[in-house]
Amino acid sequence: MSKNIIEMRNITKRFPGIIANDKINLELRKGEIHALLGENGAGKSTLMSVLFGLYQQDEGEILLNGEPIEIKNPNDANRYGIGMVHQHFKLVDAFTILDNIILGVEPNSAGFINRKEVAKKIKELSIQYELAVDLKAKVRDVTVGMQQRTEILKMLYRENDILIFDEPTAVLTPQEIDQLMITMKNLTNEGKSIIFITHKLDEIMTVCDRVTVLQRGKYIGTVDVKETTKEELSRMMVGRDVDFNLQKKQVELTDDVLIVKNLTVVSPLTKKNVVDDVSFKVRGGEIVCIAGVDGNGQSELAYAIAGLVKPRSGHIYLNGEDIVHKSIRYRNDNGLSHIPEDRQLYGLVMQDTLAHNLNLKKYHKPPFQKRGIINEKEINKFGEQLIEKFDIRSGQGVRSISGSMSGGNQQKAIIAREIDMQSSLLLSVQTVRGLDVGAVEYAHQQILAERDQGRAVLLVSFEIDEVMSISDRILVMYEGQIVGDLNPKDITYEELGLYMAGSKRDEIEDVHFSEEIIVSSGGMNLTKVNKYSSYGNLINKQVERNRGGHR
Amino acid sequence: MRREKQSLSFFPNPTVKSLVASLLAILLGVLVGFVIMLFTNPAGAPAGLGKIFMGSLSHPRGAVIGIGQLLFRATPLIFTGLAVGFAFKTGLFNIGASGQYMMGIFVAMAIGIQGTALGVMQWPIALLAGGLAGAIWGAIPGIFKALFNVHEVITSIMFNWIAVYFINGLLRNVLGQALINPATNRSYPIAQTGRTPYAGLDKIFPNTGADLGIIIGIVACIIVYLILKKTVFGKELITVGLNKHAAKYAGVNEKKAIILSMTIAGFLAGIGGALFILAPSIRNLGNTYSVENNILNEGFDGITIALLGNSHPIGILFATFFVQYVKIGGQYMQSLGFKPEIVNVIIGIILYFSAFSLIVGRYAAKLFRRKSKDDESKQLEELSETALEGQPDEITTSHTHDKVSTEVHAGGDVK
Repeated sequence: MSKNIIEMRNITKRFPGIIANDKINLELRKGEIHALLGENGAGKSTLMSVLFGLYQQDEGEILLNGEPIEIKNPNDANRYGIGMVHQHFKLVDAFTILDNIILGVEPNSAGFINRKEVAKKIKELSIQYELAVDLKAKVRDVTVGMQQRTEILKMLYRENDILIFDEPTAVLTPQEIDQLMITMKNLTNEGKSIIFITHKLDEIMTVCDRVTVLQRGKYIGTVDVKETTKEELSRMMVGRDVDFNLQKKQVELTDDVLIVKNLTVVSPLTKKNVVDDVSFKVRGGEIVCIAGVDGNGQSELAYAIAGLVKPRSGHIYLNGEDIVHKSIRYRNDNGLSHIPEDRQLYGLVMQDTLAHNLNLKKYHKPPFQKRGIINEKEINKFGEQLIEKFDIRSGQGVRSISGSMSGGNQQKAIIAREIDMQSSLLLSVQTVRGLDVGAVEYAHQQILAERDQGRAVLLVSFEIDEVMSISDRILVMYEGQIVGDLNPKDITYEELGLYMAGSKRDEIEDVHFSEEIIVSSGGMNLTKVNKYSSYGNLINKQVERNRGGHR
Repeated sequence: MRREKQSLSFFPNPTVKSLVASLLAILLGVLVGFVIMLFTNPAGAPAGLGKIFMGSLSHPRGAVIGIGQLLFRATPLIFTGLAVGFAFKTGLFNIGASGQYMMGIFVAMAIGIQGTALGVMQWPIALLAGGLAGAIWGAIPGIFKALFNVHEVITSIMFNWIAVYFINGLLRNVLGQALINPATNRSYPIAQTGRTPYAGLDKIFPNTGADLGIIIGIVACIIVYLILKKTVFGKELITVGLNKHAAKYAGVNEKKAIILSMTIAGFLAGIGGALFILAPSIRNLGNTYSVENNILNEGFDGITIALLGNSHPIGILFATFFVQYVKIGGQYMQSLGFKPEIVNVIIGIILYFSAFSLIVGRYAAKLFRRKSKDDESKQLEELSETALEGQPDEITTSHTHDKVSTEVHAGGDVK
């Protein structure tokens, strides 16, 4: 066995009233991919922050090649060859990729940067490790995948040997994830060592050599991937058995709850149609998933339905009523629940209490107010009920400041608030981003329960696993258009990936809605894929059969 | 951000926290001021420090007179402080309180001088009209902000100057004969029916000018407090201030909230101006407006006061008293041989440091935290993976916030 390049021994890091890391051990061998696994709040980031010099450990030591070292700041870490790709990339949007790579270590002669020479060196690196980037492109114009490759090149350019990847796959398409896995393998073949932070067990099983599991700040153990199973890992991580298979009941579809008709949304920045003449329906009792790579108009579609952006044209019918010109409050009060994509920006008022946040959409209604005067007692009572019912954990119950809660519990609070509204439509965007398996399981069960009660669920997800496991129907969005209306039972991951990447598309029948259809709401979904057949009744029968067959 | 949160949690509640922070900041400012006194007038420094601490209490005619003067001078500043603080609560930086204040003076003055036909209703109508004029002056930057996303700082600074020239232009060219005494280039005194009553305060604090205005000011603080704390309307404004995106998402009409917040802020500043000009003043001599092309400082003092009071209406009330207390104390320092400029520098330093209360509070909390490491109230949830994320952003914003506001205040004081 190769020797340990990094050893972290008995690392303890305390924050006031809390032990973030309690005697954690981590041994990284030269040339291995070492996964660091744990729930939200298990202490993974804290541990890596200690290694990267953002925090100082209170106890314990770090050894580099057997020699104890002190890492006081990221510059120290860099000197010892430790580099990190953060979950949220640390890139300057307005700079070119080249400038981002050399940022802070610009090679210069008499103060002038010789970009030509640098470009040559970076090109060599990018060929050696198969990391395709366009050095002259500005970061804001390139895909998330290329931004990530930029981050990796940044580390390589600095000749780092120990690479930390903090949840690198959360933002990538399946194809990009595969590519990243290959890159990681290439890197270790060249002698680099990788610490890979993730919650995704499949990725660990595919690419990693060993796993270190943390649970609630404690070290649980380190295991060889070859000698373990997904189930065992999740048990180590969560402390209980996790059910990976969603149990889906058969549910009668009811009326059309949401009808989107010829909706077009224009980006205020680029003036392009980010949502381009999109039409679809969601019926009560079904989960419709909008799949696609981030940035293909899904967010804007969701914002338009929620009322946060004004569409240029088109109609949105909620329970038969056109809400396109209605206020957000009207929508909220009349059947829309919305779990927003950005929970810190839209979902919660981070500086406010949990009770107020749980009440965010209700305080203007009795019994929480009477003649314009707020009734804090009722708000707290209501908050306590939701906290108990949805098992939201926080430091000080209803009085907790939302920003002090863990990401998982913040999301739970939003889910609790939105589900409690008993709206006919649940619009949920990136529901499980950044959540650990336990929390994902929880969120999915809540969403399924909504569907089982006959509510319509429109789910926007960038994660193919989620799309395939939870949806009853998949709409794939690519460049602002719906390019596929698919049944998850009929397609493979690869096929869905092709749709998402834009390499495959079905000519979606251009549907002409008539008001009668909308009001009667008796018809089947009106947008469909040609692969089922051509027109008319034939389609309906065919689709009906397809649906029936899958139940 | 997370670290701060945790460190500040040492204090039992936020009110106590900000109070302690403010007091520490003041103390720090006084210490630095003392160093300057030592440099400029070593012999008089200890006595000077005493004057600062004794503030208005060291009035030659007795502490009661000092307090009366304090109350009299505090009235306008309570309102400009409220005007700035109220907008702060909605996340708006109302740097235009001076302009709104001047509009209040102007309209109240016009009615107070010429509106004798209104009889006993003259002063209430003049007061309300002043408030409305301020409200209009506040609403315009609010409308620009809400509808066209023009930053309220820019518009309200411009509206300060527009107010100055609008008023002076009218006074010099159109209304001059009716309102301005050409001999002094100041406004005529307000008619007797246009003056706010003393409401018995002249009995308690004889010959100090203390009048009904201070009572209206205190009541205004309480009303603003109740609006912000207890009503749906106030809750919506505060939610917009904390996170306007989340507010919008929750169904708050954030544009309406911005406009209303600026309008109410302007109204408060306008009332402040009206109460200044309508005040009977010492021995019922009345106040006057001097036609000069200068922005009146009261609005900028309001920024200091709002910061010092942490935008809390009751905090603003006390902050006003504090600022006036120190200023009056500073005036008495001149009797010890301190030059007025040095006195202003020392007062400026004390106020400047007071505005740092947020930072001081953070630092103090950290010091305390070291001593009480075993505070076990936090749960494991607090240890979030996101310990790093978001932190830098939060800190930068709060820093820039402090910086902007203190710079502005410094600018205001220099004038």
